[in-house]
Amino acid sequence: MTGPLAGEPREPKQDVPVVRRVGSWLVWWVLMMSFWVMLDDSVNTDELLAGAGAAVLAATLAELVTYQAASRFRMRIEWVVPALRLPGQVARDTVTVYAALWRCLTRGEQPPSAFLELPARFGDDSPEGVTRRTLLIGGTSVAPNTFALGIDKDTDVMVVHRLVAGNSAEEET
Amino acid sequence: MVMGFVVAAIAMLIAVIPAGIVLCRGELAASVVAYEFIAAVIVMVLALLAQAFRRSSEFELPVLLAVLMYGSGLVFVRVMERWL
Amino acid sequence: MNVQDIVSGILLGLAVLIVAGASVGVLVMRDAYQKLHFVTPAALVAPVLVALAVLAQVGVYENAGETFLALLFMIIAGPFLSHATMRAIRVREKGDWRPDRSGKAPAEEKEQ
Repeated sequence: MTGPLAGEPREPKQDVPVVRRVGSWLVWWVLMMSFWVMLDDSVNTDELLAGAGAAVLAATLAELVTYQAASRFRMRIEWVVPALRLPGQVARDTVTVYAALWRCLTRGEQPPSAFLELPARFGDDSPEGVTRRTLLIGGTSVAPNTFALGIDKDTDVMVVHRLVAGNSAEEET
Repeated sequence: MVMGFVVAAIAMLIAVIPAGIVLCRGELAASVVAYEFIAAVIVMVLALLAQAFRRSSEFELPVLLAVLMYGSGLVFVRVMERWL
Repeated sequence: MNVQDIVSGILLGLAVLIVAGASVGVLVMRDAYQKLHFVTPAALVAPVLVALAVLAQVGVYENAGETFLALLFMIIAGPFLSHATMRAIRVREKGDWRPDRSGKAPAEEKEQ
């Protein structure tokens, strides 16, 4: 989300206890098995056994990848509360974006798009910090008018691109 | 209502044509954007057709394409960022 | 034609209009940054309308659950794909997604 190009190798900075890794693997297994049952639409024993084996492979791969990426997520309930505003934001921004398209088609006006810097605390690289930044980036990029590029660690700003800039007051994050 | 789903799927396929023009004729970044747009619409088209014809084997297609759309989009994005 | 058909038809019609408008937006917008803003209506808003249309028409049953799963995945993954795409376009163009820090950092950088 910041700094190096996406996908560059990173040193895992945290020692993850084996118990936690096993717990994570189990969560993945339950999720993958649920997907299998939902997609296969069958509870025959042989189908379930095949699904269990496939879920073992998938969970193992998922746990390996998240360990290699040094990605650990830890949620706080209060971070979900701002998400309740998202449907309204999406509806408003959809109108904004289509209004800009209408003006472009009828009057030839290009929308006043711009890159902006919004204040956003970078935080630390703990699991909570990574999760908070992920949700912030994702939540900012849901609505059509605004996309987040990342949060700058040095200046504590979030760089965003807006199709129609200056439409609303800058948000405190 | 079977016809409604089929008509909507056909209409979405026709609506994709302008994005297809960008995909074919635009510069690289615009083509990647158009590809992501078309992939998202095709997921919906497959879901609509599956609902219209109610053949159980067809319901896996939109799920698979949604997952592959995400993965392939990230592959294109990474290649575009680093090597093209 | 009953109420379910009418509601479902309206929702599907809206979804088609949104996709058509977004497609035109992808065509007429000036650069890739602006075009990307029109992917979200097709990848987020239209799937929600389609899911509601399916729900209104057939209710909840096992095969509809797969449809909802596909659309839900699109809705969850879409913002992150858009973020990655926007960032990659910026890195490809400028070498870094962060604004130029030589001299005074501008709070707003208008597109040329």
